[in-house]
Amino acid sequence: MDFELTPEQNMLKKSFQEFLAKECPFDVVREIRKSDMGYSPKIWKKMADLGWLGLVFEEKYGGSEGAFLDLFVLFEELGKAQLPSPLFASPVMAGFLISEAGSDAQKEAYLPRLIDGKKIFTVALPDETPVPAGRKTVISTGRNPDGDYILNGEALLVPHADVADMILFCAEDQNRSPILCLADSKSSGLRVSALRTITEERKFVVACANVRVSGKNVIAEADNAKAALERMKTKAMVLKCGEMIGGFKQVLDMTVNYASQRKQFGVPIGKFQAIQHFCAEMAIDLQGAQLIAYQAASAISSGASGEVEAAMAKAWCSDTYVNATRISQQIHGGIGFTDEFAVGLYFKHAKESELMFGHSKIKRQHIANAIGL
Amino acid sequence: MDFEFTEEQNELRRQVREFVESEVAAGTFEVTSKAIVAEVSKSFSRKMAQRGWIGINWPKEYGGQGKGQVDKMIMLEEMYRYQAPTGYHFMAERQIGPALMKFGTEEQKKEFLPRIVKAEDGAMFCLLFSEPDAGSDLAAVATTAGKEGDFYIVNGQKVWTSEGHLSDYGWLLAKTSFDESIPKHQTCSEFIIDMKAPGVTIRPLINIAGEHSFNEVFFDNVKIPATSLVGKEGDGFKQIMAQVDYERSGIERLLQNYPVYTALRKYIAEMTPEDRHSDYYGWIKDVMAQLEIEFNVGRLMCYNTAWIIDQGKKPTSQAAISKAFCTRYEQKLNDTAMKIMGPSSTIRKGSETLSPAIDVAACYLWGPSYTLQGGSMEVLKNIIAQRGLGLPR
Repeated sequence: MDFELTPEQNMLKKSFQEFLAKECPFDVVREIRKSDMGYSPKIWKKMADLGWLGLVFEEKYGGSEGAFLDLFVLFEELGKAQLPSPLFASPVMAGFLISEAGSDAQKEAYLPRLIDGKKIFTVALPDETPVPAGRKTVISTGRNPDGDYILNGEALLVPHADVADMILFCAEDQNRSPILCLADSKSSGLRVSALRTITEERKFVVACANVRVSGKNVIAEADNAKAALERMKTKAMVLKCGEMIGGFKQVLDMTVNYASQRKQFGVPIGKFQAIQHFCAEMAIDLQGAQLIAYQAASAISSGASGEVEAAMAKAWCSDTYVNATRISQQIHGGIGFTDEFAVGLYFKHAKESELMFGHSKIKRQHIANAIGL
Repeated sequence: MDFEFTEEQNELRRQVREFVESEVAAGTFEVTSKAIVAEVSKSFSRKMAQRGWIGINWPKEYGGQGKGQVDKMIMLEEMYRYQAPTGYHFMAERQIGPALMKFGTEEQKKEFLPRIVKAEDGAMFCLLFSEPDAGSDLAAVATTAGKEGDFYIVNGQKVWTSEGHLSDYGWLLAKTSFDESIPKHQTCSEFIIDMKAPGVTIRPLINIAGEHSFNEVFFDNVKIPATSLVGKEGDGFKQIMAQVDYERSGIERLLQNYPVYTALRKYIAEMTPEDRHSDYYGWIKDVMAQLEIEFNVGRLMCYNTAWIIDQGKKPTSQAAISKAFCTRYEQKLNDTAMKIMGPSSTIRKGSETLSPAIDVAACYLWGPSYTLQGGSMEVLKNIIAQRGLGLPR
């Protein structure tokens, strides 16, 4: 049992922190968020040059074969810094799917380009929760006589689709069996429309009207596709938890800092027990969130599936982070509610993260089944 | 970062589990909530002592095994799963021993430590801290210990003394300085007092569960030898603050109602297939999964605190976080169990018919004490806010 990172991981963590502090202070983060691209190609290139995109991939594809925990630590720092980039969409979601389920030829063709950052990939996932029948978004596939797959339908909330070179679709065939396939974003019939969302990160509706995908771009089908998708989601969910505990820590630090500075009735408001107890509640929840998220990351890092650990982490981190950002708003008062003050960013991030890969109610169903209820 | 235990630790867990399960099978004790503190069995404690499990984390020079706090936590987790009756050595091992090692004289160590480790006669201790007017504000104790020659004369009253009526000795905090100009935190000292000494009167307090666990203890000119002083005169409060981190780091806070969890799972498992397809069952799955998550969080907090101690660091804020979280979990467990089991969960043990094996209602009734004893929830939050987060005092 060891609750500390290795010295190497601590060094790595420090290098993440230094880079992010230097390259993207809060005003830069806000600028990038409001920019047309939705990410900074300049910072993206530096991240790629530092090897951040290839942390866990095989060396033969340009990766550094690091531990999953290394990547988790990076996401913890990204959660603090709130830097928008295609890191989650490209190497994590698309990269994991390709390396989980792709053929050697596909891996050779795509992973090096995705790891060096020169190409951006994104993933179009199906709805996470039930939606009214008329609003169901699905990419369905059929085959044409040449053996090509034909995609039709819509996918929602696809990150960075406007700048992506390739889009990995989680489509369904006529029997609702999943098919993972890659389409060039310039394919004819493929249309991308921007969405305005809670965090202002760039997300899109991707509509397909008879988009043709050749058979060699099918990554996986049926059970293989389903399994790869589940494995990718488990890992991505845990990295999301990393982001959440990073954001949570930052929120608590900012709140404690503000409560120590802000004076009312002639004393810092942090002297009042009402405020202290709010902060203590946050600290208790954060401690739990850190432990349970690291437990899940360690499980995956050691080669276990980590499914139940991941579900527990996602449920706990989601509930407590959202709650903490509400408390932080209350303690900050009016200033926290303004767009210019950074704490609001985490309020948004918490809500968005809570809903990605399933919120706590959904995760608890999974856990209940896993413990035999 | 490693959440796995060593081979040696897994072996220890296996041995302890095997031992407890064989004791349960032999009917040595009854698996019932809170027995880990309340059930006093000298013979059970001695069986543990023979296996080296009392003082497992104590240095070898004091009769311990020299193992770590994490090892101890593993051993306790298995013991507490079945509510092994560890009441005889519970307080002595957890708090008195470590405090004596730190502050006691050679004579005191020699007298008490081997006795505690071997669970010999005269090794059961209770804590004499709280008073009617000194609870969270512990330094406000009014019980006095005035020095007269080679003796101290103790006068005053203590309250909420758990197992005081069963204990051989008490660990007493009393005022030894009466100089008004000295800050109250520097006026108290710690003593070991014989609970059978003339002038000590113990009166039971019955709690809302109808059970006798704690007591009022009165001291009327009790004469104790000056050698009963532990540590330095005037350092009592400081010494206690160094001890409570251990009090707060224990996994007992998480597991004292484990039998309720077991009973609850059994209850759910025995529901009819029809009930299992109801909306109610959907809700049960949700709240049970939440308990599972929180149990896991609490367990990680306990092991994390133990690990911090093993690193030679002070776990003050971490221990407070752990206790705050785990006691709240216990309250929630009992509350959830009653909700799931419905109105019949109010039937108490001892009913003429339908007497439950696990008195869930009693466990619920014990609930309020969890967030009061050993530092109330509010005091813990103050510690977390001020010492952990550095908010202004």
